This record gives sequence, structure tokens and C-alpha cells, in this order.
Amino acid sequence: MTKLVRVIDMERCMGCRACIAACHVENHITPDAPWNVMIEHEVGQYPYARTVFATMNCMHCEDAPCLRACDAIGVHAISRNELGVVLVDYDKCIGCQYCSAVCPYGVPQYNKSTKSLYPEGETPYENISAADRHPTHRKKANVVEKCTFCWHKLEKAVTDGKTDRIGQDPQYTPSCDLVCPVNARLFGDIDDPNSGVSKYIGEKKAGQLKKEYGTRPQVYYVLQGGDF
Amino acid sequence: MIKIILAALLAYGVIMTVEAEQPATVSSAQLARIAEQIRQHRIDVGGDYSMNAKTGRYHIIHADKMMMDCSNCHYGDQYQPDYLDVSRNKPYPAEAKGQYVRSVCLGCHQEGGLATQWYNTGTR
Repeated sequence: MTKLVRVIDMERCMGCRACIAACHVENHITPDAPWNVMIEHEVGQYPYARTVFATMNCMHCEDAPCLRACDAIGVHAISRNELGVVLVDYDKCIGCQYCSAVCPYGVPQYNKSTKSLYPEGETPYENISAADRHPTHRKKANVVEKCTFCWHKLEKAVTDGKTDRIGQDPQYTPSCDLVCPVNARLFGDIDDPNSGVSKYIGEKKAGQLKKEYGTRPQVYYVLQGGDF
Repeated sequence: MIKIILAALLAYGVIMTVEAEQPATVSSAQLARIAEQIRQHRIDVGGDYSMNAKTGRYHIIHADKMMMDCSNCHYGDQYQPDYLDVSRNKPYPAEAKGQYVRSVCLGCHQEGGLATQWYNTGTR
């Protein structure tokens, strides 16, 4: 079995936001619905104060409350696929935002409009027609969006029969995990004991956030300053 | 005689008003019954799946039918430090009731709670 997880090392993260920029470009992000966001907060007191940075994207929970809520109201716009990636079908989403309400991590973002990221108007890149985009990039107003673990790349790995290269080959790895200048992000198969993520989680004692909700997230954090 | 009747009616009216202003106390067993009736569609909570406070099922269920006070969930216009969202540093919209605490949901929406289970489902 392949179980894909991400590890984010908050001891290494310096808050440069390269991962967020990479996500914005890769996934045609609109201002209303960012898929990857940075949280920063101060800990300690002067002269020992410091800032803790954490990037937040979808946790792709094994027991995802968003999926349960969506199914409970009969919409079935959220699904979890064979690689454990939780995806939103924009054509089925009714924009009720129940998923946003039940997600303990505040992940699903309601996209009010598909306007450009840039004040001077849409770039040629943003003007790519919906037909030429991957389904996860066909932006619609009044639906909910969230991180897909760059499913368009993982799907390519499945098609090419290269799932063993996920997390190692850039074309099969989420873009945010490729650009970190301090190697604070890893992505790979936790079921492979020799994978980078498996070793890192074991060595650095990485853990999941908000375990009390029992959602079993697939994103692990090396926490600095405790849970947040 | 008329004065006595008027006084009696007035007193009755005051008592009824006082009774009407008493906060409703509902046992958890009653709430569980209401919750079950909502799930079985025996209580009408509308068909608007939205977060709209007036017409949306979400607020009709929680505020009207389950009799939760706004302050049970909404705590004000400041974001809590663990609010894991990009908008934590944005000014909170003035028309909104206030930010809400997600941990409140955990009480009812997990195993043993009276609401539909979202959390700690333990499907492994």
C-alpha cells in the first residue's frame, strides 16, 4: 500500500513563503481561495521572543470530517481516492460551506469569485481556458476549494506507473515541497520504511495536529513551541 | 367586583409573562430525541444548505431546534491564536456574529454525542 504524507519541519521553516508562491503558480490560485497559507505567531518574551512559522494546507485526513459532512447532506462533492488524496468536485459542490465549518484545521476555502491574483488584470497564464486545465484547476465561483496534494502530478505518476517516484521525481511531487530552500518539507510514502518521510518522522518525532478530533491527518509537523 | 377581576387578570398576565421569560431548560435526552427527529426528517429544518443564519439549515438546526445560544459557538470579533486560516489577521466583518470555536462541535459530533458523528470516527 502507498500512503502519501507530507512532513513540515517548523524548526527549519523560516517563513519565506516560497511554498505558498509555488502553490499559487502551480494551482492557478485566486485571491479568495488560497490552498496553502502561512501562519506566524510569536512565542516567548523579549529578549527571548521569536516567531514560529507554519504553513497550512489540506491535511488529507484519513477520517475526513469534510467528506462525512458532504456525504451526510447528499452532495457527495468530496471524495478520497486510492492514494488517500481528498478532492473536491467543483461541478458537484453546492457552496454550502459545511466542509469549512466542520474542518478542525480551517482548510476548505470558499471561492467567491475567480478574479485575478494581480491588480493589473489576468496574466496569460491565468487566461488558460478551462478545457485546457486539469479538472482540479477549473476554477468556479461559489464553490469550495482546497489543496489537492498537487493531484495533477500524482495522477501523472499513477498513469506512468511511477508511484514509487512520488516525492523524489519533481514531476511527480507537489510543487510546494520542491521549492523549500531549507528543506523543511518532505513528501512521500510513509508505508515504505526506507522513505525519506518515514525516517524523518521517526527521527524528529513529527506528529499530527489536533489529534483530539480523531481525523488522522496525513500531514505531519515537527513542532516548535508545541501544538498551535 | 370589576376591579377584583381586572386585578386578577393583571396578576395572571404578569405571571404568564414571567413564565414565558423563563429560560427553556431541555434535558440532553430531549435534545437527543430532537436530533434524531431532525435526522429522520420528522422536524422541518428547511432545504437551504447554507450557513445563512436566517434561512440556512445549519443555524436553524443549531440555534432554533437545538436551542444553542449564539455565544455557545461565537466568541467575538478576534481570531483565536489557533485559528488555522489565512484570514486570521484580517479585520473581522462587522456584520458577522463573531468568530466561532470549532472545539464546541467536538462535544456533540463525536462518538457518544447526540449529533451526527464527524469526529473520532475510528474507521481504521
